[in-house]
Amino acid sequence: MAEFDIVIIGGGHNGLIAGSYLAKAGLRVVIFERRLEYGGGLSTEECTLPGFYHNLHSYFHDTINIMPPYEDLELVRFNARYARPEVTAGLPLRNGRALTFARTIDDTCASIGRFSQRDAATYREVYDAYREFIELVIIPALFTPAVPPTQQMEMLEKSPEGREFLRLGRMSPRDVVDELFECEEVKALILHQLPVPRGILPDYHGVGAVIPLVISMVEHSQLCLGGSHVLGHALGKAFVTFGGTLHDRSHVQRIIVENGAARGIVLEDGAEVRADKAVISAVDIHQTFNVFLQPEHLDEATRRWVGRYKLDEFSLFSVHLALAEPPRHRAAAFDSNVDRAFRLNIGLETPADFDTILAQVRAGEVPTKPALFCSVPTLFDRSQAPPGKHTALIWQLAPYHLRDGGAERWDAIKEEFTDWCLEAWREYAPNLTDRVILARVAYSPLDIERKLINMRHGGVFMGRMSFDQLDYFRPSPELSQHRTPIKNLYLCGACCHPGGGIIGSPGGNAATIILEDLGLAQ
Amino acid sequence: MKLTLHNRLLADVPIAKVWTFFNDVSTLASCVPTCEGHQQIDEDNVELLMRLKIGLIPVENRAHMTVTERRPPARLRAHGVSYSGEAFAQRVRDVDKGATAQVEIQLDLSPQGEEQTCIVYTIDVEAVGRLRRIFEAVLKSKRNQLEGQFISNVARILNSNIKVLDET
Repeated sequence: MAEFDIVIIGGGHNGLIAGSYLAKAGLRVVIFERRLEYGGGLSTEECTLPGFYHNLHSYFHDTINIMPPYEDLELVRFNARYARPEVTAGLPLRNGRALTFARTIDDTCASIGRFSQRDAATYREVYDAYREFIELVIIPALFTPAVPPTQQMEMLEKSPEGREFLRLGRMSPRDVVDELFECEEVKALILHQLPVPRGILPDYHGVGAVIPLVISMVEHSQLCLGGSHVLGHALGKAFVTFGGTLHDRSHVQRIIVENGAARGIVLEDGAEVRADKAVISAVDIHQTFNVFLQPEHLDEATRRWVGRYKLDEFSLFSVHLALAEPPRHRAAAFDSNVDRAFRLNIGLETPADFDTILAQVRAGEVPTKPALFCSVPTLFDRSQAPPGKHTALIWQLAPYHLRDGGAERWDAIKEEFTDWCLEAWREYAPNLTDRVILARVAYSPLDIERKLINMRHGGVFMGRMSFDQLDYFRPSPELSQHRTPIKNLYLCGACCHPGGGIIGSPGGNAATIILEDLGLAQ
Repeated sequence: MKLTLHNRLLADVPIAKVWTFFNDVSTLASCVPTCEGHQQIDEDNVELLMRLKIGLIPVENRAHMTVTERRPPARLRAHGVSYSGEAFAQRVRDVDKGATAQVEIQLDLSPQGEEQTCIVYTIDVEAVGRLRRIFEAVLKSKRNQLEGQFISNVARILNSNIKVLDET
């Protein structure tokens, strides 16, 4: 008998969640994580000045309040607690006005009403029409292994209201907001909720249902107190508490396949670790199928879809700031709430601005269109900086591969591009001067890949979040139930439904499937 | 996850009338909130078509109920499964396998004098299968509203005051 029932490759949040559920069910589970820090993108580091803590990757944890693992794995017990800002999103405008979204529908509609009374009424109608359905059906469906499209449609196609929801779902988010709203700024702030943290671009057809999801406010904008790494640590502690074994600084070299079944793994130092029941990969498709497996292990169909699985279409250039004071936006004179917004849209004032930046990203150009996703964590969690001081983060939509010079060129232009990002934000928040910016660190798309090799080509969602790669088609229909063509080999990472971001459902759903296959109740 | 509805009610009608009501499938089905129609298969089996509005969107479900014990005028036991979608139901030979919920119903009646009846019911609903998280979310959200409607409907049909003695 092997030492373990289950071997998991990768200690990101999905691997930890899958491992925790399986350990709780009484299985002997081990996780091998290549880095010193487990938790994957749940990374908080003191990378500028002492006492300033920066969330380098995952930050907007919008689904924590609805994520079953949060309760099932008792993460509060392991110190993962959250702040929920009152003002969830803000769009300061060059013309000095500002639009803000809040935790309540009333406050949100009040702000929208200053731009368009018609849009405020529509926003409330959409909220009233879909909130309950989103909360009771759509959200639980995220935490359920993907079901075939026919089964999903059966629920909806019988009524006019259901067919309307299906129709919205076939559209692009951009088409949905254009149909529903008249005010460009309202459309822009809604669309800003999509690339980060959902990985969805406004022109992706077939994902229009994300608009009622955003408007429903079932997901709550929130950040982890103490920094995102606290959630990673909580998941690690939970896993070990439930009986799991966690090895960091352990590089997996290959998966052992014997007689068509996964039997364990071999580490880079040559050590073999056998698994009696299953091997689970929490890492990306490329590593799982092209690095850890040999070509002879894969049939033609698997090789084909591995080859055509699309990586993220965009990456992010991030800048992390240590500040003497928080940013103060000119537009706060119009709406003071913009200075306490959790998520700031800097530069994308109309849907057409999204067209501009996406054209640049897709062409591999160094962006000249500000498309910033900013936040000031210390407005909501003072522990992330010394008293009286602040941190801020900027994420700018950017390509990984630059048309002139490739991804490697990011090293050469990093500082110059950082200056550009800061200048873009400074146009809206003039107090962000060299006196206020005490220190800065930037991470380019290339740096993302260097740090987290899972995030291939700087793609933080581990695969394009487009209609053809979502839901029952993620990563392919044949693998949508987390099983692979190799017996006892499963997938549980963000390449599975519902995709990237801190949702935890790929890990949870994989555990559900594995426990079913083993005849154990969850 | 099992959801249990339990209640003790006092109806101002004799036990015989209450027993007749709970064995009259058509009348009983008309009291079940979200029940849009029924088909009696035989004395002990009935199929119900349920339609529930979740926000703006109605969702249909079918339930197959079987009476497993009948001891007049006081005791009734039934078992049921709920499943969704025509094609889904047709795909499974064993309807339990395709179920979205398993339901166990216990009903006990006891006379309280000549003109009153104590009605005690326990309904255990356990969502099963792949869609269980959806079913659980809907049940948890709607249970109080649906239970209240059911009691109100029963009172109307029995033309009786119904007092809730205790509930869980």
